[in-house]
Amino acid sequence: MKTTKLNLLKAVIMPMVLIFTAAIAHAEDGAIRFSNNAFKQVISKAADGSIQYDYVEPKLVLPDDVILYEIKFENISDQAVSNIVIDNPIANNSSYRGGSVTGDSTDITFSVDGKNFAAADALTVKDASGKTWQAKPEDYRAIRWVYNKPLKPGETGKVTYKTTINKP
Amino acid sequence: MKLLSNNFVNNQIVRQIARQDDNDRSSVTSVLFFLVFVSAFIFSSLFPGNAHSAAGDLISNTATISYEIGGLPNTSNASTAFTEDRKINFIVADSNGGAAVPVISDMVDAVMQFTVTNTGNDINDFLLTAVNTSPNPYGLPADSFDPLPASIQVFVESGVTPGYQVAEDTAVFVDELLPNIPRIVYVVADMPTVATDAVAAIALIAQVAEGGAASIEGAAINADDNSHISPAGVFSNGATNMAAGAAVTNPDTLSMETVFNDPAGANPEDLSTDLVQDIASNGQHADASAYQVAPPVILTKTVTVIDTLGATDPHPGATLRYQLDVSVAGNTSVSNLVITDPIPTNTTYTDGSILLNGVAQTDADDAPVDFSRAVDILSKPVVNIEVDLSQGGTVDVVPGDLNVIIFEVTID
Repeated sequence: MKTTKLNLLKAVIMPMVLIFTAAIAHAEDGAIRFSNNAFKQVISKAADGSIQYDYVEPKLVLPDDVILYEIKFENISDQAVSNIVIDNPIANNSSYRGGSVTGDSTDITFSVDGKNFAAADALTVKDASGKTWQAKPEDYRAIRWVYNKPLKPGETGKVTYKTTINKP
Repeated sequence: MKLLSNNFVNNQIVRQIARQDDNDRSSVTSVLFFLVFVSAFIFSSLFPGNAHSAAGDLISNTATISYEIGGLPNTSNASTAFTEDRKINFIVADSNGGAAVPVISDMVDAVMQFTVTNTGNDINDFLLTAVNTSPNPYGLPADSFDPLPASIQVFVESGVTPGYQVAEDTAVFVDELLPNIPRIVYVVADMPTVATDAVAAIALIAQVAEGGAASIEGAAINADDNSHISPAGVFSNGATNMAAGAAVTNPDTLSMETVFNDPAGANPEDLSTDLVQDIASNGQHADASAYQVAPPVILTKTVTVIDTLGATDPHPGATLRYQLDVSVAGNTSVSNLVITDPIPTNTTYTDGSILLNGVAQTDADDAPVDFSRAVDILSKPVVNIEVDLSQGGTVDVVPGDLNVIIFEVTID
């Protein structure tokens, strides 16, 4: 009961703290250490002509910039954790970049309404005339990863995806 | 940016409420609802449809993990957030159809047209000024004169009546420009006495300024947070003096920074307010157009063949009917306008054939009966016809009036 209260308090306070202070956060409630970090993608060309991708703190972010979200989870308990599901709505002012999602040992689905999830090729949207089309990546509003095995004590997992900051 | 400041206001109110006693809560809550309502109203009126300012928006993301441990369900959240920085970008473009604006010597209020388009992610005001420039953005002939000193003014289309309207289009700065919706801007200037074909190139320069309250000229943004600055300038038809920006390099933070991202002027005549070609990322952009002096009188001549058999074969004896359409260009009246047309060789003037706007004219030099004549009508042959549209210097011919002169000759 006390833990639940604490969690509730955290759920209220954490976003407020985030708004005013930090860009990154992680939570340690019980069995899972859970973190979510955003990085700006910086592309540069090395001397040998190869393209280098760097991911830096998102201090300077303008339209068309690419953001990498990295969501990590770690079993910090002494028991196996099962039925892990990670849900992540796409951030405001942002569009999912097609094909960018990763997640080892996960089944990945997307949603255009935040409620119904399906594989990318099974998602549809309706246009103004009521015609149904296959959803485009920028139509996605949420991503769901279902971790398809137990997470043993000390084990970690990571899922990532990228967004583009919308044009004005 | 406004949205964010509203959020901050509301958040501050929320925090203040948290400190209030329970007794005060209901009244404070109603104030809060009122403020939320007002904010929503401001938001909806400022950002119709999808157009919105994104600069300063907090981009936040919360992931949720749910799992079971020991058969018990549990969930946890992790959030991350950063601020979308302010990208200043905009385009000034000449919209005179890719050619010089025809004017006439001594014309008053000659109008050229531009658009200003905000391609950044904030809602901004734009200060405006127009300056003499060179070379002619349309090539030849070369830029050769300037409009009358101090006559160059800039006004913004009000949206009420298309085209420049003196009474309506009085704003001297672009107010609250949403991204991607062009605003029309007019440069208005008076011409000196200049010869036909002379060219005066003019650059319109826009300077980014803070949005904010509608109808109030925002403060110029003359520096970004990355050591880019704007040169000093005078805007708003002389009313606004802007100092050059001071270069500052502020460290990138998770709060909003301003980034000048405006392009350079495309050509040497596209100046910034330091009167050199506009450079990228200086909070200004410019494009140039030009006035070109055209003859004030537009004269077109057509001929119709009327042969003796009623057909159109120009054989000897056939009649040629000439029609001269005379009008005045620009917006200034013309005085002492006399039209003279020689009778072609191998033709003979048909006596009494002059018509002015459908009214038969005498051949005699008999003003003020009429102001037309066939020269040498008494000694013959007639060498030319002459029509004095100014009626002996008593009448000015005004722009928009069409005078039609018709006369006939026969082929010898």
